[in-house]
Amino acid sequence: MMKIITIDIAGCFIDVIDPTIHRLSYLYPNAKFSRNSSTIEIEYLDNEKPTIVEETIRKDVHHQIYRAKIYQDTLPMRKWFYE
Amino acid sequence: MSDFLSNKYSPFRFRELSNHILVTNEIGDFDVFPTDILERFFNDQLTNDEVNQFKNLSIIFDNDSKWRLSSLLRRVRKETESTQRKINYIMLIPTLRCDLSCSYCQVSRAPVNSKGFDWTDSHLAKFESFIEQLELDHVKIEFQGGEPTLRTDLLKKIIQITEKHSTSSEFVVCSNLTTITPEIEELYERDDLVISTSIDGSISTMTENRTSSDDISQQIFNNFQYILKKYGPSKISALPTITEAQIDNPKQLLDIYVDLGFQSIFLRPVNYMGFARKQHRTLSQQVERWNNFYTRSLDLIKDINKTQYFDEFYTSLVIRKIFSKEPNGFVDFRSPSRFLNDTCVIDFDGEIYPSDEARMLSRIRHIDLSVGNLESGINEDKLSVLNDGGINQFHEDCIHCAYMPHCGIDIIDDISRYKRFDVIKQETWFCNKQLFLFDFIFSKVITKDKEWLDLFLRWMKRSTTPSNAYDLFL
Repeated sequence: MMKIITIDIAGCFIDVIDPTIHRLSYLYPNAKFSRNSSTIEIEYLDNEKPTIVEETIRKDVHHQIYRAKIYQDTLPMRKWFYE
Repeated sequence: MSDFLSNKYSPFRFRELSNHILVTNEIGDFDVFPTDILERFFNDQLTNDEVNQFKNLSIIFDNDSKWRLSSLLRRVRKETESTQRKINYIMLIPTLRCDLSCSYCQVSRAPVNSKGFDWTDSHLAKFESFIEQLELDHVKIEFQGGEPTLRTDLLKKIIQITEKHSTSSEFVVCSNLTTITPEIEELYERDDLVISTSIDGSISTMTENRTSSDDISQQIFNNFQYILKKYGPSKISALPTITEAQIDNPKQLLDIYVDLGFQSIFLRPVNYMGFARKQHRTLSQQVERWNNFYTRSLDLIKDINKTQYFDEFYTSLVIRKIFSKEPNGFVDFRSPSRFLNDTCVIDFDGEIYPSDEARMLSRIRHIDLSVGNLESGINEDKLSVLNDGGINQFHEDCIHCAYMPHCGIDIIDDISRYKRFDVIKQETWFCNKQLFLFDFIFSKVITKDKEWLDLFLRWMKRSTTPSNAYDLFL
């Protein structure tokens, strides 16, 4: 059965939704991620292996959002560190 | 600098573990927070204590604490800047011939009576020119094989050449210990030479993995005891390769190492290299099975430590790297890997490799990872291609990993297993093995598991004396 989860993304993370979706698509190849202004929608087959657990994927979406935000905000500093 | 100062925070990584969030900064300093910390971090809802925790990690800084950023920068650059090549460890393969045919032989050794697999006088002359150019200070030479003691004449000449062109030197002979002739014994009598051998477990395990003969296995144990009795425990070390023969019974293996008088064991999984690709195909790719074996072994080792000092080499190495910032010379457990910066391998045919595993892959014609030879010297272009891949600080997966600053990158193993190294790291053997061990260590830190922390402290100091330096952990 097809399942759809919609996750609201807070305003300060709007500009990292796209890179987050790219990375989530790579980590969850069996799920389809899409954005709708300030939400991320996840579509997946509920009974497909490996099983996707809603609680886990919700947490992963938020963690990937935080990671993308940290990456974007601190990229100039990382360049300075490693130049 | 003003561009990024406006963000007021430096790069950090996090991982959920033991119902907490572990946070590490760019250099690996770490602290532990509640699971909602990230949401509160980005919503400016940190408590004063949490702000101070982040400041102490040099993650949050204000105008009065920019010095923290400079300090962080200095430490990052010290870890990652390119350093001048200074070789101090050379692995030599004077012969590829061997009198054993182990099931997991990673270098596809040559039969003992075959021709064309030994160094010649020409190789010796080129080796002398090569190391003369390296301007060696102290150097350790490790004789690998094949079985190097088949050519004690070559070993003696190499030792003479090394002594002539270095300020000081030491030697390791990696021998299967099937034979000790008077010529071999003459070498072993040197104070600057130690022996390393393979002991995979009981006689039957040795026979299954290495010798195909209980008599030869027994002879190896007899020779081991002879060396131990005559020269003492500092003369000889041993390490096992874990195959199907031991993976379900770590206790038997550990008991044998304790009985032989060892205070350390390096638990090594069978590599996906050489003969092991066929003989141990399934096991060499089952990382969960390895991790299960490793956990069981560590629990048993903890019990052994109730009565004596005994460490697991790799866990000790990782602990010292995390908590004491102790550097290590393993190109597959550091980042940047810095291939050929301090270590090189010279094969029986004079080809130079960045690691023994790179030699193995080339030997089975999987990929040519030689980065030069004694004749023409080092191929810097090829070497730089490898070195460009050997850095986790820029890898798209590793940059998000809390353990990145403590971890390494093993592109040789990735090439061996997946035929490329631009693979999803979380799906690789190396990453799963490393993640498992880091989670194990940090879960003990987060839960303040005193029994394990006491053991970590002892392994860090390589001592049985109890220590109260728990502040090293948090």
